[in-house]
Amino acid sequence: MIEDQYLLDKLKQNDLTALDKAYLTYKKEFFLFARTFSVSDDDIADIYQDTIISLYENVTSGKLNTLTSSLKTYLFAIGRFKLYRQIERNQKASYDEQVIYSSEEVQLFDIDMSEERKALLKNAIRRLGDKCRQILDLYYYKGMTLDEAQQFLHYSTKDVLKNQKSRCLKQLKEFVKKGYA
Amino acid sequence: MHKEELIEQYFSGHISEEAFLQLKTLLEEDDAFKKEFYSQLEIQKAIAQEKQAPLKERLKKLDQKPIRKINWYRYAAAAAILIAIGFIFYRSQPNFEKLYAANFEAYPNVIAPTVRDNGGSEEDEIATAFSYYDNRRYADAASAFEKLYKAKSKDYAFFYYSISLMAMGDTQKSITALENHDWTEPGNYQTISHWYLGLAYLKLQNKEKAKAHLEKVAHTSDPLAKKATELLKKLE
Repeated sequence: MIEDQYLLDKLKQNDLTALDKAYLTYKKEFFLFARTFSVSDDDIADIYQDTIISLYENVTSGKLNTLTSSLKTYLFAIGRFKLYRQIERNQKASYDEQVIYSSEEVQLFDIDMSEERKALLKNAIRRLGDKCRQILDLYYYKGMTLDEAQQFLHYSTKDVLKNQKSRCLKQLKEFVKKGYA
Repeated sequence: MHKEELIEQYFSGHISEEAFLQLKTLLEEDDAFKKEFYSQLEIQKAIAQEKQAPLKERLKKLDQKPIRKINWYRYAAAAAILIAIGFIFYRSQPNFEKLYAANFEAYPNVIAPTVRDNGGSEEDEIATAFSYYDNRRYADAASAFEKLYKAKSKDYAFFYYSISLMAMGDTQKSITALENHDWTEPGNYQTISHWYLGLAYLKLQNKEKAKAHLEKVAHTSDPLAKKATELLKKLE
């Protein structure tokens, strides 16, 4: 546990070698665990990488500060949700649109997106101005609240930022629509 | 709580259990809200994927073997040692103790990787037992699982009790436990038990019994079947 916390602190300082270490330490065990589900080794590798990345993101965004369990337990809880999601995906021929999956255990929502849809959205995001991209980044990726983002970006009030964010989303939606045309 | 606040809390990653459930209910009941939230999840996913690409590459590279300068002297020396070891082991019995050590691994905790630390007393007991187990405190884990089993008669408690015994080195006791147990759901534990019984007998230098158990694993479609087959080959 003490070692786990040490690793977490290193991650918080953006030390990516700590991430490498976590990745290599639990890889074998994760595979052993994941193989009890009917998921291919390629998918397991993919899921494990994403699990480690989730850990990193949760630490750097401040969502995870102190562990209430061992790091391994934490990783396996996230990984298990991703494994279940993969099994569900394997059982379906096409993507269900507008279905939101949830895990209360790790407090996450998840959706399925086709590669085309992802590409379309990524393109639309790239077309946004720097300011919009930064706002969306801070809010949806870095996990900042509007208050935190307002301070970080030096907006005069929270409402100004909120309005700006709505405009960005509206613009993004238009780009997406055009992308389909 | 206001809808917008719930969304903000969710994306900030700091959401209480209560608020999470509230959000979940709202998604089930309010279609317009769900549509809006869905599109935000899409945006999050697209941004995250873009941001994660370099990290993903980094982790993938870790899987590839590092390329080192070839140092022939070192290889020659290593080869000589390997040949020497080969001679020593040639026609001798396989080293059971080593095979056991190489193959024994406490079965992963697939029951309660709980992140939360709440719940009633029963959940607490389960969580405590597994936290001992996860932290390799097998003696504590064994007695905690034993207690759990006596109270609830659940297969998993008995299984982890036996594995904890084995992990702490109480091999004979673990064998006796596993051999005399009737699983309520044999499908989940029978094969894995044979695997561990095989390993345990290996440790006790009982080749015949080890083989008998491993054979049972080798003939299943369980992921352990491959490992069992490999181990059997080494025992020949």
